[in-house]
Amino acid sequence: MSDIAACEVSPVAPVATHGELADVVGMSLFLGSGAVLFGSLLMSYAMLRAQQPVWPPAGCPPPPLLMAAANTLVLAVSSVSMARAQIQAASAIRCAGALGATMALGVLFLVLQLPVWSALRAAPQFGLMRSVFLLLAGCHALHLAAGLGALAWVLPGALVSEPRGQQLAARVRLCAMFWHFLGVAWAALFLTVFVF
Amino acid sequence: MHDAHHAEPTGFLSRVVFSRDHKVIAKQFLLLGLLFLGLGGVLALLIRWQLAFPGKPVPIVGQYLFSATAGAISPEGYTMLFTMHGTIMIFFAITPMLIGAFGNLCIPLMIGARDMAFPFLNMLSFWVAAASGVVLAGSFFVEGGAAMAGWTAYPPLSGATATPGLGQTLWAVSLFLGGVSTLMGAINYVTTILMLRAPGMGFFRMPLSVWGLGLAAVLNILFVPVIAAALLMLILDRVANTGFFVSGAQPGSAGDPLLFQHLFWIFGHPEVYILILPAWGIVSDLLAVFSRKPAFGFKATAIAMSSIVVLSTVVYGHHMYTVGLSPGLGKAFMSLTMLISIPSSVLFLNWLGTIWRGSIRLEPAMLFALGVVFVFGMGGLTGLFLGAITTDIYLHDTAFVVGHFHYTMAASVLFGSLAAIYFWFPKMFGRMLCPELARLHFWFTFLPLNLVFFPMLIEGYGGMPRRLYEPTSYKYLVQFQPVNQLITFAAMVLGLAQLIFVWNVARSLWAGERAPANPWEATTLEWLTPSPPPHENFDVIPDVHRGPHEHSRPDVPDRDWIGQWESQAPETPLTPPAPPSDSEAVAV
Repeated sequence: MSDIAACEVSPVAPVATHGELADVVGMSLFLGSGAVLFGSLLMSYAMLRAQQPVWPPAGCPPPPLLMAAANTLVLAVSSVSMARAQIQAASAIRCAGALGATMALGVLFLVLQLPVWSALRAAPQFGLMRSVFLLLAGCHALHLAAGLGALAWVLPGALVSEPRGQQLAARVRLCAMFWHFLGVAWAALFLTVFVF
Repeated sequence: MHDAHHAEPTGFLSRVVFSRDHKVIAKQFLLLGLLFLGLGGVLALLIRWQLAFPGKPVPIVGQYLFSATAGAISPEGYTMLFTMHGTIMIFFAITPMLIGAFGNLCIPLMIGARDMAFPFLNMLSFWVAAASGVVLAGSFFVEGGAAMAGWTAYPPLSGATATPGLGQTLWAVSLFLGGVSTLMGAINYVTTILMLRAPGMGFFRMPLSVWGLGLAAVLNILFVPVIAAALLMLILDRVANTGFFVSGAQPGSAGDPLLFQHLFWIFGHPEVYILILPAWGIVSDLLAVFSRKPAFGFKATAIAMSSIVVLSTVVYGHHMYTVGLSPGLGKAFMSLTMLISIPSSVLFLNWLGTIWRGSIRLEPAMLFALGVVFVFGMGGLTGLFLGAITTDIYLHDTAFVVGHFHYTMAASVLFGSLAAIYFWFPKMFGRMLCPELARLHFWFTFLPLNLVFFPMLIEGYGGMPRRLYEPTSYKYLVQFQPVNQLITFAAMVLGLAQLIFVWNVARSLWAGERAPANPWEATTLEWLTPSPPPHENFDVIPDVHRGPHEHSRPDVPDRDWIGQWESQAPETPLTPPAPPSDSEAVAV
C-alpha cells in the first residue's frame, strides 16, 4: 500500500509540513534580501557608468564577452541539473548524481571566472571596469561558493545517512531555490557588464 | 519539525553560552546592548567635556586616556569620540537592546510560540553581533586609533587617503558583520510571525509590540543589504585600491563620493524607523496596560505604522538637500517627507486617546512610556524644520540636527528600551525591580535629558555647527559657552543617574522580590506563563480568543482585564459571571 502511494507521489515533492513551509518562507526572505544586495550593486554600477562619456571608459578594451558567455552557459546547465536533482529527490542515488553534476558545474564556473579576472587584472587601464567586475562577480562567486558548501552538506546525506524521501526533498528544494537565484543574478550581471 | 518538543539542554555551554533558547539569547543581547550603552555614554560625556571646557584636561580619566596631550582631547581624538559615540549607540546599544533583546523575548512569547522559527540561526545572530562588537571595540587599540570619519563615514573622508588607519577599515568590517547579524535576526522574526502564531492569533490580534518589531524586521530585510553594498565598496576602496567613491585612484577610474551618500541614506532613513518602530509598538501596548483601557484606534495604529514603513523607503533624499540635488527631486522628497506627518499624527493622537480618561497607573514602565510620547513629540515637531528644504538649508549640519535626532532616535528609543526593561524584567528574570528607585531613575533621566537636548536646538538655531571641536574659536559662538556648560552638567547628571538603574538591576537580581506570572495585570500571552517562562514557554500552546488589550470590560466581573488566552470571563465567588452571549456581543 505504501509502495503504491510512493509511486503516485508527484515528481517534485510538495511542501509537506508546517516546518518545511517555514523553511521555504525563510529562504524566500533571504533571497529577497539577496536580490536587494545585487540590485544595490547593479544600481551603483549604473550610476558610475552613467557618469562616463563613453562606455567602456576611454582606453579600455571591451570586457571579454566570449569567456563570460562560456561562464553563463555552464551556470545555465548547472541550474538544469539542479532542477533534475529536485525532480528525482525520491530516488537518493539519482538525486545524488544530479547534485554531484551541479557541484561539478559550479566548480567549473568558478574556474572559468579566473581567465576573465586575469584578463581584467592584466590591463591597468581597465580601472572602473576592474572595480565593477571585482565587486559584482566577486560577490556572486562568494555566494556561489557558499551554495557549493550547502550542496556538499546535502550530497553525502542523500547517499549514506538517514534523510530520505521527504526530508531529502526539503533540503534539495532549499538548495535549488538558492542556486536558481544565483543563476538569475549572474544573468543580470552578464547582460549589464558584458553584453550591453 | 518546528512544532515538536525539544528536551531542555543541560550543559552550561548549551544552556547559557551557545543557547538556542530565544529567552536566553534575549538576555545576551540585553547585556551586550547595556555594555555598549555604557561605553557610548562615556564617549558622549567626553565630547561634552570638550565642548564645555575646550582644550582643558579631562578630570580623573584624562591622564590615562589622553596621556600624549596631558589629559586634553586632541582634534583627532575628538573626531574619533563623536564617530564612535554615534556608531556604538545606533548599532551596538539601541539595536541589540530593542531589536535583539526585546525582539527575541517578545515575539515568540506574545504570539504563543515555543521559540523562533530558526533557533540555530538565532544563536548565530547573537554571536555574529558579539564578534562585530569585539571588532569595533578592538579598533580603539589599533595604530592610529578608531574610525574618525563620522558615523555616516562619507567618502572621501572615509577613504584610504583621508583616514589611512586600520581603525576605519575595522569600522566598516564591524558594521558589515553587524548587518549580517541583523539580517539573520530579521529573517527569523518575520518567519516566526508569519508561521508560528498560536491558533486564533490573527494579525489584528497581535500586540502592537509584535507589529512594531515585525515591521522593523521587514525594513531590515529590505535595507540592510543596501548598506552592506555600500560597505563592501568602501572596504574594497580601502583595501583593494578600487575606485567606487574616489576619483583618480586608478587610471580610467571615476568614482563618485555621492554614490555612497545615496546608498547610506537609502538604508539610513529606514534605519531610523527600524529603531523607532519597536519603541512605538511597545509604547502603544504599555499605554493601554497602564491606562487600563484598550489601545485607542488599535487597527489604525497598526495601519499607521505600516504606512510609515512604506513611506520611509522613499524619503531618504531629505538627508541630502544640500548636496546639489535637482530642485525638482528635492521638492519630491520634501513632499513625501511631509506625508509622513499624517500617519505619525494618527499614531500620536491614538496614544493620547489611549490615556485619555484612563485609570492611569504610574508604574515606572508607564512613566518611561509617557516619556517616549513627550520626546517623540519633540523629535517629530523639530523634524518638520529639517524636512522642509528652506529651513533645512539653514539648519543643516548644526546642533539643531543633533538635538532633533537625539530626541527622535536616542531619547525616544532609550526611553522605549527602559520602559521595556521595567515592564518585562519580571518576566525575563523572575524578579521585581524596586519601583521607588525606578521612579527616581526616571526623573533623573527625563529632566536632565531635556536640559541636554533642548538647548542644542537653540544653539543650532543660533548657527552652531555640529561636530565642532572648539566652539569658542568663532566669535559669534562665544555667547553660547554658558549653554554648552549647562548641557555638559546636565549630561553628567544624566550619566550618573544611570547608576541608580544599574544598582536597581543588580540588587533585584540578587535579592529582588519574586515576580508573579502577571504582575501588571496585562492581557497578552507572555503573562500566561510563569516568570521566568519555562523551556519552550508554554505547557500547552494557548488558544487565542480576543484582541491584545481587553481592559475594563463591563461584562468581566471584579477585575479590569481579561487575557487573550481566556475563552470567557473567569467565574468568581462574589459576582455571577456574565452570560456568554453578552460577552460575545461585546467582543464583536
